[in-house]
Amino acid sequence: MSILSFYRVELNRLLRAKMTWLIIALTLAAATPIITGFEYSDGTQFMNFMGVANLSGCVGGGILFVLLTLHELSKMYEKHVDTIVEAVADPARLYCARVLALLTAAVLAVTLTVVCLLPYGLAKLGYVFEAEFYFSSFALFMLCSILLSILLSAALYAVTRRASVSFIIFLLLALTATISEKFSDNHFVKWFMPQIQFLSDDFGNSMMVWLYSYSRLIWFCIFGGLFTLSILGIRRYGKGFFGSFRANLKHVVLPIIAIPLMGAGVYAYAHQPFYDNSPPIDYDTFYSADEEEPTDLFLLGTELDIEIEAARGSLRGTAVHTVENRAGRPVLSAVAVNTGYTVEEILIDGVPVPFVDLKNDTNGEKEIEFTVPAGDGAQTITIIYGGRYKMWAIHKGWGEGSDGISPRYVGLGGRSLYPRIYVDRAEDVHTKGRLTLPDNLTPVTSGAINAVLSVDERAGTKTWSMNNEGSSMVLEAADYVQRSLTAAGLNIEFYYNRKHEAVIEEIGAAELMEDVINFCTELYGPLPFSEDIPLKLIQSTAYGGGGYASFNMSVMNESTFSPENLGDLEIGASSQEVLAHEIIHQWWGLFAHCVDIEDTWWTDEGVTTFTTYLFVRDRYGEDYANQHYVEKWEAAVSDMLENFYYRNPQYLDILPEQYVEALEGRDWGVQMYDMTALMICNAGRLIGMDNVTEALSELYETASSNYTYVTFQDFLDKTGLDREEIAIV
Amino acid sequence: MFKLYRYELKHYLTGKVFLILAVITGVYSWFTLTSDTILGVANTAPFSPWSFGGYLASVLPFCLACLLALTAMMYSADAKLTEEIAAATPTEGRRRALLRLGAIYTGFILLLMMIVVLALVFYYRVFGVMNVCSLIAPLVFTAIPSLFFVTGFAMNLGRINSGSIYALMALLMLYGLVSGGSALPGVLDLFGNSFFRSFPKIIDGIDPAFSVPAGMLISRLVFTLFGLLGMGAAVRAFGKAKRG
Repeated sequence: MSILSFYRVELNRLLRAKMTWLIIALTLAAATPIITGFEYSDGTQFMNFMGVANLSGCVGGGILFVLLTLHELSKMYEKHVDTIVEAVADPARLYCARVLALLTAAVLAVTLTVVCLLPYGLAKLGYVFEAEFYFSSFALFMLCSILLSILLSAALYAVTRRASVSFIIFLLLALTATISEKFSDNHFVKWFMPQIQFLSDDFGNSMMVWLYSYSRLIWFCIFGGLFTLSILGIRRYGKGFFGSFRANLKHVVLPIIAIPLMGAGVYAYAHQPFYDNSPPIDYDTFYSADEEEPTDLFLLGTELDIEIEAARGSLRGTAVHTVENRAGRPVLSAVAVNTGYTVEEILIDGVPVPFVDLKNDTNGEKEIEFTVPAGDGAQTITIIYGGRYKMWAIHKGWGEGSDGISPRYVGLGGRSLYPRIYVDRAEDVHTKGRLTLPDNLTPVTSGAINAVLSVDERAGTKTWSMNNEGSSMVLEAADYVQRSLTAAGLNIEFYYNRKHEAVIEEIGAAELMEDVINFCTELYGPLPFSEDIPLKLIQSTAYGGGGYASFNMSVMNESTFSPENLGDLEIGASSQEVLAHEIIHQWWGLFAHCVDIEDTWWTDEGVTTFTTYLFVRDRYGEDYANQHYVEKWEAAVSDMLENFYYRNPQYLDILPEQYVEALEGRDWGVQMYDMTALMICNAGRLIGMDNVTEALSELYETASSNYTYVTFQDFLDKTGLDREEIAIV
Repeated sequence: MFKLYRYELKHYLTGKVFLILAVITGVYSWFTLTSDTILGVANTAPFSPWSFGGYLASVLPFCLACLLALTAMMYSADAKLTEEIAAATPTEGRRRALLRLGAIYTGFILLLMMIVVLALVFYYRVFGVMNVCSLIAPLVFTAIPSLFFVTGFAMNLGRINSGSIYALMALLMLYGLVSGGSALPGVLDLFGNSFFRSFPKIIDGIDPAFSVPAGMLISRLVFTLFGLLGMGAAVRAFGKAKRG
């Protein structure tokens, strides 16, 4: 009998067994969010339904099907009928057919789960529901985890012939990959329970689908290879593992398939195309003030022409930097660009020049070196570049980055939009140009409002203008609705996803943003924006962490705008904090800067966090603000100070690098946000909150009008306090 | 009787199964020490009794899953076949069950000793610390109630359906996985995972000495008592079934 004939018989037998249907029913139950009852407090609706269902389905379904696999594979031996069965059936073929039948049962279980959860999903998600992602998420996460679990456990059983031992080894491999700190910064290891922390309701999840399709490919290769190889271990002629292995080796095709398959998996793992090779962050230099070496090159302006192929996750572009070489000699220069892009050509005044890609991945970018010849007056450096966007390796642990190019969302900043040249910046620099995007995406870039320049209906693209006063450009693009607001005499353009339109109206997000702007304008003074260059408030994808602010843009992630998070004060301060925090950065972070070379933790983040507290205190009262802000800061600072490694830094030397990085990152975060805000709050307790507010207001005015930094000592001088009175470390 | 005990020891502990389980437990324990315990628990030192308790709470579900693998052997189809022959001997069924339980417990103690020795080696090699006495309290607090409770539960499950022991193994591991990150009340916190990770933070002072609140102690006693009752019932049933 062929494997196919055995498969038919085995599948028929399996589907008649009560045990199979019990396992299928339990798998369905495991994936039912009503039963798991777990929700991410500030998660999106997709995350709290499909994310949770898939994660619990992966673990529950995986383990249940492993139990079924081991039960089915061991049953014949436990009942001592193996000698009779194997007299008429080839044990290797029978083994393959059984595993195939089990894989089919798993497909059936997940299909039933998807069908049964569909009405609940439709009711719970409402307008957010997307059929394509609903089905693909279950196929990619839950189904693949169960199939991989079956392959691995079958392979283990074929080798050990002990159900208990196979099960324990399986649990070791599955759960260690899932929970161990060792693998927390590498989601490609998470074959059993994917590391999903965010799913976007409005901006698409293509990046996640690409990532996990690739990850699944890796593990199907490895486990598929293991399974194929394990067929050699199927016992024959009453021999043990090694004897049977030798006897089975006559099927040379098995190792010929298995070894390249596993090799392909390992190769794919080692050469994944999504993340770069940047080393861990050195926090001592990362957050300190940039003291760049003078280059004797002066930038006069940048002209861009960029075309984004969102469906492929890539872009192509030309960046023309106009510079003046004031050194009077050739100068070695460089541009920094996203590590996934390739610079194809560099021309200076139209003449191609040699360049070297240093491939020195650092902090998500690499450098391309070339020489700018001596010359009088302006020279144009034309850089033709393109390629598929690569994420910074720092994001490898949580499965997604804050930037990226995907069909429904594009977020590019820093050196990801175009190659930035190292120069001494000149005054009155403009970065402008053209941006071509698929016509479903509306761009929002730093500076002026983007206008449509041309429409190519055949290609389905639109070309937009970009114009920013400055040497940088940040891009956010999605299917945006643009709404004009006014607060404190300031023009505001609010961009939110079309899919979110009804909710934005319902939750009064615009009113909250206007309140923040009114509050800060009263406290620190108006922002110097105009009708041409308005303040842009932008809703962004859930993958983008909290948010950020850049030039006239304040960007906040989509979960900030959910009715649950914004409407319910009892949920805590996180969502409103993000919203207010990113707007307040327009004052602290963009027009006035806190930098201190001595006290490197003194940054804009602390003052911004404290101002957020002031806003919440003003809006909801002191008790609420103290409970949700001050107590949180105190707990975070206390946790940091009490940590063993903080108290005994000499032991840090023995820790693996990844742990040192994680601890330092956490400490930096606490010091910059919580500790600084708490110190300012302590100052308020000593001299009165009004006096501290007034001091900050004066510091802001001086720093924003004179383009100077505010140091911690400036703050102490202004408040008349001694360092020892408020310092925590 | 000692001869029979030696036979049971040979049956359960000298086969490939126990050897493989011991190797896997050792690998998992060392992995836990070098990847998780090294960070310390609740801001205490990695070699504090709290961190050691956290380590045990992480490893014990796995170690107990190994114990369940041995318990599953006790209720396997093969064991049932040999039991037919053993039942014909003058040795009482209850006594045979106790002998098997003794052999399984010996296996568990060996695994536990290995886990503790690995921790001591790790502490000495990495931190230059060797304070055995401070680790005894968390060892007793964590290992004994969970051992009795899980065995009592598993023996009764195995009596009903030997396959359900595997489900219990999975539940144990999942329970161990979930309990570390949640604030479980003492009565549900079988391994003390949640307790070790949260209680030191609410005691005043840095690096607090190991202490257990009365409620938690009572819950340990309840787990132990339930376990002993379960074991007693299973052993009695074992004897009755064979006499019948």
